[in-house]
Amino acid sequence: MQHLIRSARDLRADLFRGIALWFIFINHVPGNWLGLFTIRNFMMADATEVFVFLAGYAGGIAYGLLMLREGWFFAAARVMGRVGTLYVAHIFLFVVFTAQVGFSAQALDRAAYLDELQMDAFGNAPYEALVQALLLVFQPAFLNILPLYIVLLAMFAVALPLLLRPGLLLACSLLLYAAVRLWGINLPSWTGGGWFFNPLAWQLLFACGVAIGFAPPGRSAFRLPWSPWILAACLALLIPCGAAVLAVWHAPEWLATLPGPWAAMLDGVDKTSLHPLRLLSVLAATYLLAHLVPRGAAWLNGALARPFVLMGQQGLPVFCASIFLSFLGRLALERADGWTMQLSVNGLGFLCLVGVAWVAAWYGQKLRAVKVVPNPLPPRTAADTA
Amino acid sequence: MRRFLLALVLLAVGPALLGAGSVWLPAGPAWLRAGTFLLGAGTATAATCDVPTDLVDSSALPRSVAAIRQGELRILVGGSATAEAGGSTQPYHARIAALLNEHFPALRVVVEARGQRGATAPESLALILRELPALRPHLVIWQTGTVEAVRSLEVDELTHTLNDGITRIRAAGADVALMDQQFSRFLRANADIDRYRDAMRMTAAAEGVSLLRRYDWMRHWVESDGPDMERASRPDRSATLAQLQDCLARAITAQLRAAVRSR
Repeated sequence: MQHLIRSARDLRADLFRGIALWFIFINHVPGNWLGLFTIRNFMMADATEVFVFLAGYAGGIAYGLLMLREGWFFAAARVMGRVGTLYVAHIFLFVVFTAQVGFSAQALDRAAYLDELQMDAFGNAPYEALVQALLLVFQPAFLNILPLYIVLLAMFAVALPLLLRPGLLLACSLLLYAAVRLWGINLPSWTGGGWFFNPLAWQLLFACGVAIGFAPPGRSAFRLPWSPWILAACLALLIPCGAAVLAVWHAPEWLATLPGPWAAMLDGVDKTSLHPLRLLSVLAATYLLAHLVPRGAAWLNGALARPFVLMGQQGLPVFCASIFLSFLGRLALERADGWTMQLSVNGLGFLCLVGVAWVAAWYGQKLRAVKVVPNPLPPRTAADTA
Repeated sequence: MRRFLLALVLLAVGPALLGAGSVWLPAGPAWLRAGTFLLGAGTATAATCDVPTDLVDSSALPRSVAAIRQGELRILVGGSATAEAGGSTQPYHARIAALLNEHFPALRVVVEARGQRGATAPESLALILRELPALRPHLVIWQTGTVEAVRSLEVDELTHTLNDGITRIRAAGADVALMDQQFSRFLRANADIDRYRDAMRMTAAAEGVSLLRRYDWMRHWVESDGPDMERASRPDRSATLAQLQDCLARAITAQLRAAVRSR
């Protein structure tokens, strides 16, 4: 596995991205016991935030360098190619989800259930559901991260030139975020209200990742130096937030004793438009980890970290696979959720994710090797192209 | 490389494991349950739906506790269709009075229920608010959150409605107890139920209202051979439903008694 890992990159980012992808799989399977140990249980942020932030980080580096080499239009075309791939993947997963609901209703002999709960949007208005799904306006449960990622990347393609002016990029991004939160702007959703993850707000997290990842020529990437004051500020944010999240589960009566506005404020921490506390939690955790885990730490190449690093380096296929596998995991746990099934779902799920990363890395390596070999065919004549 | 080969072998064997699991795991409890019914549901009911104490929230019902001490408790249950009818002849709210009287023989208990098929949180709140002036309840059991999860409605909207409703019900002089979603494997697999449960739990904690943890209770019963609607065979369904309603009433009563004890 070691030879498939591109070790010139910052392996820390890959490691945490890999872990986030694994957590996304786990959190998309309600009833999974491992769900009690993912970061959302003790942080005011979950794997989605980490994934978006690190997607910005990796995207900033990859497409920033591409833009410097080949120009904005080329890099933007490449980003839009990704958007196209993700869109097709999303529509595929939409079909899978619709089939899953139908299958699962049949398996449980609960067709009446669907009607009663009005869950069967597809059965009630199939043509409209299809159109709304194609427009990304209809997003069934568990299918809301991909639409977010699609819109974020499309926005990124347009905003690429701003990469050369990170300050301006962050200012524009912050302005949009503030406006969106102030006026409650969101993209429309078929079920009423807006998108589950509002891309117009979440773009700020992506932009932060971009600004930290990419260094414009002649400048270094945005870094906060190590300082005890910043450390104290990060802890002053993360510890009370973590305590509050834990308290909701383990000591709810404690929260009620908080004076006046505090409890109400905690209740108002929304995920849809990325509440500032969620944003700051991710950034604070990043600061701590970036300084506590040295870049070249030996254990990043160790056997324990390796599968996650590999997954993190193959983000796109692993992400799509994790969403797809979570469908199977949910169906499996619907059948039975005892420890045998928990073990099978998590064991197989993890192995499949690593397997997908392995194949993708192996294929990518071969592909690069093929490209390096000069074309053995004789140059085409004019007659060939006529 | 050796590790990868091992992974491949596991991948090949895994589906077989999955298949085996799905065949024998659910079958076991089903036989057991059928057996319990044959032996007599009356004695089995009490034994199969105990509620662990850590799933009972004993805080935050001051007005109800005072009412129990004064000898008359009025309860209003509001929610979707299951709140009013329960799909059986004996819905849970109809059992609460009898169960409370087992422990407080002199207590006069009045329970009213209002439900509407597929009611969202704002709709069930409207039902509750309409009844408040006439009944003047000491306790409002607000059963909600399932329809929101099923239709993927906005989580923040649910939180707003709950905050608003809790304020208004309290202003009318009643305690609020939020009752969360039903446990169902089907819902868990097909709707993002956890987000909505988290939101309700957070609101209950922040507002300091009682949370009736129906989801956790029902899952506990399913795991301990109590009522399990989704595994009950067709002829057993109505008996299982009656048992479930009884268990819910017992759990609610247990929470009220815990509140009395803690004050």
